[in-house]
Amino acid sequence: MSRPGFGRIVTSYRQERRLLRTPGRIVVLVIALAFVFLLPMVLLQHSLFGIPISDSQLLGIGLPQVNLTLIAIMGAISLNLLVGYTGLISLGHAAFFAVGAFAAGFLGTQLQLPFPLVLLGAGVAGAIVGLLIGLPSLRLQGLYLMLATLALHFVVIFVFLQYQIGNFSPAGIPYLSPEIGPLIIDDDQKWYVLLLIAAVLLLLGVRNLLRTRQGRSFIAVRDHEIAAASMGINVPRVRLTSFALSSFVVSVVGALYAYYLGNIGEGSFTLNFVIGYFAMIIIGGMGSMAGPVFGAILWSMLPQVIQTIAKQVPASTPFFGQVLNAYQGFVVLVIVAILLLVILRFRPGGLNDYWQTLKGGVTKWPYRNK
Amino acid sequence: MTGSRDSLTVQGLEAAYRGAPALRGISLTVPRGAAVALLGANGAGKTTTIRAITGLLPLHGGAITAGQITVDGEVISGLQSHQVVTRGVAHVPEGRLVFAGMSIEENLLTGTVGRRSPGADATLESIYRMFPVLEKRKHSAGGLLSGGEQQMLAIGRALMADPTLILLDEVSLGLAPMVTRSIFQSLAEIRERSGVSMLVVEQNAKLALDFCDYAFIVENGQVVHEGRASELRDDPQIQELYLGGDAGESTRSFADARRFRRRRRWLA
Amino acid sequence: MTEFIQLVVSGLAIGSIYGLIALGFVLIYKSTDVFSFAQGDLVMVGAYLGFGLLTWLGIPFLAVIPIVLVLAALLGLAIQRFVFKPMMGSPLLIMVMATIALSLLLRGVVVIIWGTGAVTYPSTLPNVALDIFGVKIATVDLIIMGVTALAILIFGLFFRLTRVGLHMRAIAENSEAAAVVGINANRMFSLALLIGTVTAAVGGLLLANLQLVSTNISELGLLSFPAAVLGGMRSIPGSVVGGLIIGVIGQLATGYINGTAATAITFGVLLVVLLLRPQGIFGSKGVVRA
Repeated sequence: MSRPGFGRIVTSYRQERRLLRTPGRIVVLVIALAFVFLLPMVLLQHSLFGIPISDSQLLGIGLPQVNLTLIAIMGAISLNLLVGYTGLISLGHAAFFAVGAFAAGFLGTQLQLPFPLVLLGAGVAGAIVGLLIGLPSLRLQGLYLMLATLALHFVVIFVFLQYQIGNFSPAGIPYLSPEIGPLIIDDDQKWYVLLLIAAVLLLLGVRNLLRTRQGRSFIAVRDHEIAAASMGINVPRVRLTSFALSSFVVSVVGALYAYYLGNIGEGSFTLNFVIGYFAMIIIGGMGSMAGPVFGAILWSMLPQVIQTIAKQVPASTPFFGQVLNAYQGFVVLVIVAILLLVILRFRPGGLNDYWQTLKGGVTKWPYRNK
Repeated sequence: MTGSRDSLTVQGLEAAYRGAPALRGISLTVPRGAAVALLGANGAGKTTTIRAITGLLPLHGGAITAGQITVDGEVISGLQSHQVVTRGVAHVPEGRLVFAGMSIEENLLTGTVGRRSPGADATLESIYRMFPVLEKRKHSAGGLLSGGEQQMLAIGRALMADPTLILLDEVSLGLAPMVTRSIFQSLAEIRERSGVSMLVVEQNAKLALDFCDYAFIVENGQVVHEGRASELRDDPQIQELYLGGDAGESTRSFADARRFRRRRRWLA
Repeated sequence: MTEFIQLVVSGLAIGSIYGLIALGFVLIYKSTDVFSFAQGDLVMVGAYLGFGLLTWLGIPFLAVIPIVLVLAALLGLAIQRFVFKPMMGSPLLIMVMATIALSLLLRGVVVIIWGTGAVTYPSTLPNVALDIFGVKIATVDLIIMGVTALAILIFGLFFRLTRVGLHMRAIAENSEAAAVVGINANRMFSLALLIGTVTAAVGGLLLANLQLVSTNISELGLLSFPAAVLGGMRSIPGSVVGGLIIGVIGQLATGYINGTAATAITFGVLLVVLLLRPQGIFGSKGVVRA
């Protein structure tokens, strides 16, 4: 009955309270740490323990792509909190990113406030906007929230554009390298560390939030409003909290995004941006922690994969050659769309479903995972 | 007692809503031209039975898991709702379900979806004759009608299908006694004129037993008692449980009565 | 003053198109309870289908219209068969995402065939400036208003007078009652999708005469959403009025401020309306609370 190893088998209360419950978990943690540690070195030096790895074997992925993936992961997790765990469909994702970028520009580039303060300011700005929109809309059907956030998108982007042109230039708002105390974050490696820490903190924070009463009330509201209300949960207030919280986080991520890119213009915040994040959380699996992570990684890496394939296919090949080389972005789009439709139809749980099956199979081996 | 051309035969019907069993083996028959009552308390499975017959279970997340339903000799269990209506089965649903935004006449016209025979105009005329208030307001919206008028509308709509079997679910629900009486009178007229068979689901057992020839009593998804309406009306057990009669034991609570009766039933 | 009137007239023209698209969108919504994001991209598909037929096959515009109608009808049926039907009964978010996926798919395919840049649409409708009481009105605007009015009239008659129209209204109004009466839900959904797609495609063909045709036209199609909501998500009169209002506001904003402000202002107006009167102009209060 007590089998040491990978299983989720716990044999004492003390063991259950521990952070790393089974030896299996310790192994997983060590592997994860090693991976995270070695990744930047492998990507930059193109070699692993002395064995050279070519650029195309890495699918042309470099540290910048990894950093962008980390940002995508954070954006996906915060969207998932709203959509997957509270059941609110909001199209304002890009708008809140823009709010964050705006705050970073105003507080950071113009007022030159210290970096942590800028991030905090971005979050607060996002939360305020979230409250303004959320207060009236969250009492209505989901349809109205969708439309209100769609309207928010266009309005915010327009305001951002005015700010950008008024205070900077049509080319975009420039951002300085953030400074945390004596440390200046000015190259990809330092960004990697910062973004990694931020992503991990966010993941742990959300996971823990979902275990608290507040977090569980989100899920209750998503699953069965009427039952939740009859349990004493103030449904509109819970929705508002979730919306404000999510907006806070998304704006902070938006500020980080702005700082990382160094320059952002209004054109970065399109509806396609919003749809992309929805694709991430759906393909990855909504309502789960790992899902958005999978989805963000897939979404960020897919263009690289397509690019690598495109390089193998000469441009002279009829149809595929031209299409792959000229419209890579849209090939990605079509693939994602088809993937979405397939997943929605056959596996609404997304990639996370497969992950859970895999995990279950491993932990329960040699028994089957049912 | 059952003939092969009964209007409706239900054999061993089992059904569940998303895995939770609701019907555990219902068997009943509605002979040609008869009016049969389906009685029972809330949640006993009466409406589920009706939904199973009309193919509406999937709409509510349910499914038939076993058993067979036959109408006029044809097996219909498993058919979809739009197929069932073409077999001459009309449904007057619980809550009436009229189209609030459409006019009365349009409401009635929607009843012709499953109609197999010609003469819809004549049927419309006869419905207006039977329920003159409908004709008077035939262009006003269905949602503006009173409960009793909506019930008449729902019945009229079912008649527009020229059915051989009408399923009536809780016709008396929410209606004043006088209105209910007048509606049942109309139903009796309809029976006399067209010989259509009826399955009447009712919580108001007295009303149903006065109107129908035969009755089945459902409890917890099973038929626990059946018999001729005239006999059931005089049965003290039924009186105690469903008719509010006291049969000499007026100080007992409902729960006591059931327990006592059930024990008797096991021993009998 | 004359400028104002001109802007209003062109706003009415483009608004009538929005109204037409909104009609199809509301029909789909009321029948299937699905908020179809694909509507905007179906507008784009209509415009590009027309473009393909006009330029590649050199078919005259009058013949193009019925061909596009038929193709759009087939597309609508295919969407119902392969996207909506298999997923009926899924939670709303899933179905909405499916329509978003569909819109991505449509956009991707269009780009792969025609590229991302704007295409030069051959002139199809006569565009002459008429002088009425000193106000310059383009004939193309008048024609478009006429065409959409005709289309809306046809739909109105269809819904009021035909049996199938009655059945559609029944399903849109109360799907459970419609099932009780024996209306074939799937068939009605197919019809709703068909009409929705056809209206979007026609909208695209007409818009192509007013706007530069590129994949961005799908964003214009999105403006049918506020039109529908303004109209209270009710079928014909609401959508038309909503569309006209959106069109006029957009044109006035474009004329007096600029084009990018127009979208923001239009959606800003929508936002305000939603906050003050969420049921729109014709909607009833009961339908709206969560």
